[in-house]
Amino acid sequence: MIRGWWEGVTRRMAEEIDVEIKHLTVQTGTKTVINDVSFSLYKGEVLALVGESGSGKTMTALSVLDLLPPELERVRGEIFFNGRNIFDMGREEIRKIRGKEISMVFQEPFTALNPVMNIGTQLSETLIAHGCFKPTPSKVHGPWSIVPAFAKASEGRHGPIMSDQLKHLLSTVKLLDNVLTAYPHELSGGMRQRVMIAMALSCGPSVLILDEPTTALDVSIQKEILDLIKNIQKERALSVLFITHDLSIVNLIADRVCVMRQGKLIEIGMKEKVLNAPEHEYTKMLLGCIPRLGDTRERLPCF
Amino acid sequence: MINVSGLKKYYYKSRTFLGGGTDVVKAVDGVSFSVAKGETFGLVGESGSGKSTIAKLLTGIVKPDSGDINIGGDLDIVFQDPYSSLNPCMNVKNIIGESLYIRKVKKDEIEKRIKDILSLVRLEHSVLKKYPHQFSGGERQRIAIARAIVRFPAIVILDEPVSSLDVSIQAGILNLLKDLQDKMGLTYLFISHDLRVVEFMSDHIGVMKDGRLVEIAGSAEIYEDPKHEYTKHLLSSIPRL
Repeated sequence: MIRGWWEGVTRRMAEEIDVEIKHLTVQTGTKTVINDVSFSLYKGEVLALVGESGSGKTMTALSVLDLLPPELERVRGEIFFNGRNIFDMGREEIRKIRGKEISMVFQEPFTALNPVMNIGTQLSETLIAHGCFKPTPSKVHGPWSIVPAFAKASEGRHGPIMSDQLKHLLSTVKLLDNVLTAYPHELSGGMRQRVMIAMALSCGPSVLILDEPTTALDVSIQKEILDLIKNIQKERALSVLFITHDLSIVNLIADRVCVMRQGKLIEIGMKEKVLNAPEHEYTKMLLGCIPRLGDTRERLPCF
Repeated sequence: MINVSGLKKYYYKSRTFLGGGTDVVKAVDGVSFSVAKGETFGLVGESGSGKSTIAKLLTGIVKPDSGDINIGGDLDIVFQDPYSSLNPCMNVKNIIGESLYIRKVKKDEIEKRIKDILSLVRLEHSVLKKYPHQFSGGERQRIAIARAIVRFPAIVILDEPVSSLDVSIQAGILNLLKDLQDKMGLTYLFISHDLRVVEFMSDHIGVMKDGRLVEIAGSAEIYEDPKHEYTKHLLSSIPRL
């Protein structure tokens, strides 16, 4: 009986895990970029991956999508998604997962968006690639629409991209329809990041990886974006891997925290525990080096 | 040390080709403040509020439409992005020494000054022959600071000097700036969108919105007793630990 109960527990635990990283080790030449990192992302939780630049947090996230740069070599380790090892999958199989089941928002919204494509076209790209795009035939405006050739050309420019599906996507990130025909340079940093989030959500993924989504933004815009992410995450019960270097953001958004340094995982635990009673000296330093309001310290601790 | 009164700078954008009206962007709209010697004045506000325009007006890169600027000494600036503010074709020695070469300072004197400055910003002497791409963000910002203080200016304008850096690197740069101020008696104009950082660095803080200074107060008063609605909004958007 006990054995049956135990199997039930382990099965339930296995079901609740979305992404499981086991003993991941990645090297470039002789330098170890990720050193024996293991952790799991549970269903519906926000796990923050915290560390300085160069600590390997972005590379860990990229490995989940099997998108490591060619100069990096995976020496050891597995990453399981829905019980299957990502590194055992074929090229086409993993492409079906990228952007559809697991999607990612990159740090710099300006370099991540294509400057010569309008937002609508960029948003529809992911949808078309995964066969989820539902173009709605839209009305062609203007007197030239009487001439069929002009009407067709005009539809080609603005028609399909003004589809209801894309409008709905933009409304989930609280942007107006006219953004669809805009180009990235016409948008502010916060709006660009909203577009990136809309793009990542377009195919209804179950796992979202956010790589420093607010680092390039002002503090007040950062708050808006974090609130937006938190609301969407709750609504859709997404599992989120949130990469940041700032522990004060972790407090706003995360359920669990995982601290990395020089490619090693040094501390993992619930947010309340890691922020209030950190075990590792490095975590204490990361907490201490953030200036607080009403700070009476003359100098900040730093390594 | 710095005395600014009634500063205005408008940018005009013609709406149509034939001049059928213009849009006005009030980048700086009647700003007045003063900074005492050895003090740090913090300017805080969102992007687009006119903080950087004030920095440009003070350095003379941009001429004001009206208003007075009185500056009691030499002035240098550290820019936000350490990746684009350093010339990728110049080695560190030339980057730091450029302003001295232009002023025809003697060669031995330049060598000595560069070495002194390097130890002040805690960089090894071996960096002199390296190029900007060989450094991390924090090291680049140290180089940019070294370049700004090599002439021993009285005033340094810091335009978002830590916004693109990690929190741990940020702490090191903020400490360094405070050390330099203590040693050299510098006057800082510290610009940032992060009220926590501004509050840590400054003696007085000015809050900017849409080209206007909506509140000026001592750095402790601003979070203990914010007067303006916008200051309260800024305070509420800061993530707490």
